[in-house]
Amino acid sequence: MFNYLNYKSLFKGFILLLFISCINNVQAQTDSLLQTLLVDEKIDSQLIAPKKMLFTQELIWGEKGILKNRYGSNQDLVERRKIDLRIRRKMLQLHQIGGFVTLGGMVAQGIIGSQLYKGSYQLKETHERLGTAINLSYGFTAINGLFTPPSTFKRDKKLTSIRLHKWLAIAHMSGMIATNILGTQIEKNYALKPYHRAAAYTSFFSLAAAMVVIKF
Amino acid sequence: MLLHVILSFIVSIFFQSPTYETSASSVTYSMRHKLHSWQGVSKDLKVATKWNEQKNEIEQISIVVNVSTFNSGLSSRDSHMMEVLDGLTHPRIIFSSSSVQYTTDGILVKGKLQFHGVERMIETKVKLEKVNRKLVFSGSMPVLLEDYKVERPSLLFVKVDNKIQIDFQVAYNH
Repeated sequence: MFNYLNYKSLFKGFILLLFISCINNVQAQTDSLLQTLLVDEKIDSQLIAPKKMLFTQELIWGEKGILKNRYGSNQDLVERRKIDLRIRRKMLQLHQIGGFVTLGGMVAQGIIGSQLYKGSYQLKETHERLGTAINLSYGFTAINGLFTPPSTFKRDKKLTSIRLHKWLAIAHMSGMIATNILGTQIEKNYALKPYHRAAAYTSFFSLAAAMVVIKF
Repeated sequence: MLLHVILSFIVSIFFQSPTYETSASSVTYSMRHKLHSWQGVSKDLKVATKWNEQKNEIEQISIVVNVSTFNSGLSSRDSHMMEVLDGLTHPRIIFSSSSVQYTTDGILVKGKLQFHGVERMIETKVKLEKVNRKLVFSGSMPVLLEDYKVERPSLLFVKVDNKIQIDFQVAYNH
């Protein structure tokens, strides 16, 4: 009789324990399901303190840059990087707009320049003024491309559209410098005219190509 | 009640919940611009699943993907995505189901999607396949960027399409 009672209470206890453990298990799973995934993670340093950057970016954002090692100290680093990424986005938007304005100016300059070559010398002043405007918009575009805060990722090994864009930038920047230098020398040496034109065309086509190859 | 508890206990002994398989799981976004389209893939999903052990069905699921883990094959584009999505302020994309219904037509999943700091209820149909002793749940759903207050990036003054396609695949070893 004693054994029977003991066995019965033991069985009841076991069932109760089972019941409680099942209920608790389900409840805990429901509550913590998402929370288990939302544990605090350390932010990847690449995202907040980029190491690789262009030499022009180094001048501002680099270790010895104007902003005195912007990504060197950990204090408020995430907040600073958030601001920089917003600056970067705005600058690249201005870079795009500037590129279009410059290209448009170059098209107009091409038309005026060809008229000048045919003997419409009254356009010389317009040609020069437009040249100055193109230089200014080109410079503005270049500044907004070259001095942006560094990008988050730099992991491409192969030839990419952005790499091609940069190579073409070297071509159109060289073309712009040559066009300007040759332009100032034409009055002294008339034979430089075709070279001035060739340099201008190089700038135009490489700038147009740089805009076409770039993908968002 | 007693029978139910005993049954649950027996099932929990003999049934082991399928385990999440990282390598076969992914989330892919597809974006389109007038000039071209591209995809970005993340294989770095964090998944928590609550199984109904008796039916061997998912009861609840939560998925977290970090914005920075998407790779479109072009670093500059991924960097732009971090800027567009303000990836340091809102680093995670979070989905948490509120109901999972198995139907003859597939699985209907409803839940909250938190993206770019905005939370919206969504629902999607999920297909279940058994491939090489794996349970593979896959589906596709459209997401409108402006619904989540994402300023659409533009190229040559043309914005990308508002609608992006999200394809997902979540696998479990069984």
